[in-house]
Amino acid sequence: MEFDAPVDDVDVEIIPSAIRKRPHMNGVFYEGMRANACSIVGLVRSRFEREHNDLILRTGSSTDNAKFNYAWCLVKSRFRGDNRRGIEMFQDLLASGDRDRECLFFIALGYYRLGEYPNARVYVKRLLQIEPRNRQALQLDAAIDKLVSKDTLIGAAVVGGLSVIVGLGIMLLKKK
Amino acid sequence: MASYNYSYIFKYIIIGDMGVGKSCLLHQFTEKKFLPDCPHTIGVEFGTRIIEVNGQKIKLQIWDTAGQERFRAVTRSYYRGAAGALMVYDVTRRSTYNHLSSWLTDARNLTNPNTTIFLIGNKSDLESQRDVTYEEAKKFADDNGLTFLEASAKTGANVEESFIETAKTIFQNIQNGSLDLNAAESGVQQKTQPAPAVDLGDKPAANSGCGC
Repeated sequence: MEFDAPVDDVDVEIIPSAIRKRPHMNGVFYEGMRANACSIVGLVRSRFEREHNDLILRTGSSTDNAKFNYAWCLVKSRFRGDNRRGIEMFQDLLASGDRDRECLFFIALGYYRLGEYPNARVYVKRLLQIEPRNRQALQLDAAIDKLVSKDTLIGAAVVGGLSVIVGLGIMLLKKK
Repeated sequence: MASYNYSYIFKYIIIGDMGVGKSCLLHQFTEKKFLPDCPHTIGVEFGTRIIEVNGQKIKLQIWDTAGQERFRAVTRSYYRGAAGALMVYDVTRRSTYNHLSSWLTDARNLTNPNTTIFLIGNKSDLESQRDVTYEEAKKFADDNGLTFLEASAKTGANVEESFIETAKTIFQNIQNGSLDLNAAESGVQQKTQPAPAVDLGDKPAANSGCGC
């Protein structure tokens, strides 16, 4: 089992081309649909976005529920700016409410999707303190570890390669 | 390496109240193991397994939704385009059975008319704590045109059967023409050639393209 449902590639497989080719469904073309036209998240994003913005327009502030739904779409968006905005919204919710485990998970997921693994790890560890046996958190933690160790190996290879070049350069200079 | 030469993909969703054992049923089906004290799902989890129906290999893509009310808006978005919906209640908690009509309304409203809805009464191993009789649930299922089984994610009883029976019904609907594969949101995709390996999205956003 996966700790999170796929947002793009697998959804593309299952959502028929009829919808994929018609992101302007019902003649209405929403920002969210353009951003993520072929995923489930993209298909509902416009609604959550509108609900959130309408509340702000009408009452001056959004509700925790509306914020939560919109932030969820943003964290799962393909666009990094959206991911960052989603993380900020979940951080606000985390400070204000009773949705600790959900907020911690989605902040960690947001950072993971951004490739900011140390930040992702901070939040997934906080979730694991509350729920040490949460399988989704454990899987996300393992996924972060895997990517961090890969990055570290690549980093080491680059540093190793560079030192060989520098070394050769120094040798050549000395020969002159 | 998994083999990817399946001929169909069916999308399933699992729905029902919090704590009825949705994730445990999926885990039992995909991993053949029971997960004791499983925490509440955050958002959605996802599992796949390739099965065989009438000699055809079918890949099941299963979206396991959070039962918590606060996730309802989010999880509802996953109903779209499901070919099969497994609706679960807990035979030891009557309240989870009483909520079935609201789950069924959601399933009927948010999926297409040909979506196969399968009712599962989970925790059938806890006979001494039973709160809903088989007969009562069977009648509810018959009245609403659902297929029904009691199952146990713990012992594995009827778990396999529930997922596979659902696939058989969907496959039958394809063969007799009542499920139109070209219709929007059929929840079924036919593979014309061996499919490439699909990455299940567990990678950073920066690398993922949607290809359309």
